[in-house]
Amino acid sequence: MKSDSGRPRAPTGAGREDRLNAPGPVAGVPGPGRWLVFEYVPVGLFSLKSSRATSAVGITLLVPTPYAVKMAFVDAAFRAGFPDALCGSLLESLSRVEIRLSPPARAVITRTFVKIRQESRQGDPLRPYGPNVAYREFVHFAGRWRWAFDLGLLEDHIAEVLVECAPHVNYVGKRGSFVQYDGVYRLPNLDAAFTEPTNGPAEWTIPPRAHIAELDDFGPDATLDVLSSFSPADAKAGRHRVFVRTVIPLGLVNTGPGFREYSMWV
Amino acid sequence: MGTVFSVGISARLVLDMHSLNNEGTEGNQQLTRMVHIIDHAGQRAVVNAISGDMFKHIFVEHLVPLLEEAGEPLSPGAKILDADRINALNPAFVDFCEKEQSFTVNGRTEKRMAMESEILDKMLQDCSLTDIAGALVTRRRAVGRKSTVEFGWVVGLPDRTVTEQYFHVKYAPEGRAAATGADTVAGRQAIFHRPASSGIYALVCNLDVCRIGANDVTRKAAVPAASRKARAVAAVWALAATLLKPAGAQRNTQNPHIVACEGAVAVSSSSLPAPVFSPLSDRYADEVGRAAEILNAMRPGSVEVRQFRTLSEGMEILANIAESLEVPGA
Repeated sequence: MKSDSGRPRAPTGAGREDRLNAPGPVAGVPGPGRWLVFEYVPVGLFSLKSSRATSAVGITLLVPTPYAVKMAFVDAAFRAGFPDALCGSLLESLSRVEIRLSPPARAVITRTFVKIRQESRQGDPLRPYGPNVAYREFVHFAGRWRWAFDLGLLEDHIAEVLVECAPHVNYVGKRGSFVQYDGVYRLPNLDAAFTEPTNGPAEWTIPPRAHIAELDDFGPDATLDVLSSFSPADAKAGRHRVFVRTVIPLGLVNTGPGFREYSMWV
Repeated sequence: MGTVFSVGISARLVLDMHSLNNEGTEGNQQLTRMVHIIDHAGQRAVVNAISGDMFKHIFVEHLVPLLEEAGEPLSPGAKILDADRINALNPAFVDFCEKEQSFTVNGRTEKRMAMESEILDKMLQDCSLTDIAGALVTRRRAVGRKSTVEFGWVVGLPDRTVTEQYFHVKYAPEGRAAATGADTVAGRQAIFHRPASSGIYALVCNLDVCRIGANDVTRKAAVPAASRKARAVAAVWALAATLLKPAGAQRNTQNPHIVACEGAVAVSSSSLPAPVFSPLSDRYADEVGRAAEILNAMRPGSVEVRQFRTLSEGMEILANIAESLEVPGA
């Protein structure tokens, strides 16, 4: 089903709410609950540069951004063999879906320097890159990830694609930041262990231990043609990619030379 | 073995007296790489670690001669282990990316710049190392080949890994400044401290066999089926060699003692990824098996897990995979 603008139309109406609040399955996952929650176990050290980071000083976020998570599912859809058109529809459907993340309860960041290759200023076409060092951060997590997708604005067949793609996601953020899929279920409500966007319709609160980070997400006009890494089109801020101030339920509890430690309040 | 889409290795490697990865030097003291982790009791621990970049480097060092032996093409940069692979010392590739040329599409010849997918085809066809290990081309536009092999940080287990600093002296009869007492015996000796670490290390890696030789843009094979298979076999052998000989830093005098190796090799015969689990947990081998059960419930028979207790058993499993694997779509 497509809207006048050609984008897939969001399911709406009281019937939808009733279905999500019933115990019957949606996308094969029993209810009740409007939140489709995927669980992953962290396997490798995580790193994802903040959008404000420079290439020389790459501070990391403590959670993957909604953009990174959604793109991981689109990538998984391609790898799972879904047709290109359906992968494009998945991306467009996800552009209006809120996702919220519950990080593992403990995290410690290692601050370090690594060797990188950087475009050389010499302009030698036969030696385009040169060696350099850059500040990088890596996070070790203890606990589990929970990634929750709002089914309220997601068509059932797209939710089914998500459920099928979830086991194909084996890393998020920098390569080597492995995660292992561990199951799916639905929840009626999310507690304060989940991230909270500050631009949503609901009031938001800051848990006793938390910090605020600016996370990127798909914008309202996001399409595969624009966001594809291999597309020459430019993604425009506000249209194809948006930045949302988000409450992350992990607070700083200790810091010292070479590390910062975070934990949840519980 | 049949068709292999991906291979995942979760292993514990006992390395003694090694210095495979160092951050740099402060004064006359070399600093090894340490990372902070949360241990099984919930306490923060500082442990020695070897970066995934270092293990990728080791993997590539083993892979290049294997690809040469298999007769697979290598770019001038790849042949000399240049980290920029197809980008380095390669004027023909520069011309291909930056100059207009003739392309035949649907029987019609058109003169234009190469498109991203055509540059990626060229990368895979001209350099088997770029195909497997990846590279980023930034000539007027960015075309990235994502590596088909991925390594996580190789992290020491808390309480079971130690790092010590050892005092060394290098005899330097010439070139010492007078301020150091060049005329004396002490002045001709350069004193320095170097680390050596010993312990149990947690290794995770993943090899996407199904992507070898396949263009990420068109998702079609860019090289003949025989080449894809030869490259996949070389990649599996290089993984085995990486475990057998971790060729990192300081091996001229601190070649690591490999005391033991145990773990689990997961092989996926569908697009579901082969599961991996962090060997920092004592339950990692069981967890890999449990993840395989979850995936097999979705697609029966798609994931097989084989555990190994010794390095030789691990080699045997990887050798069996290499000998009988088929690349999907090839």
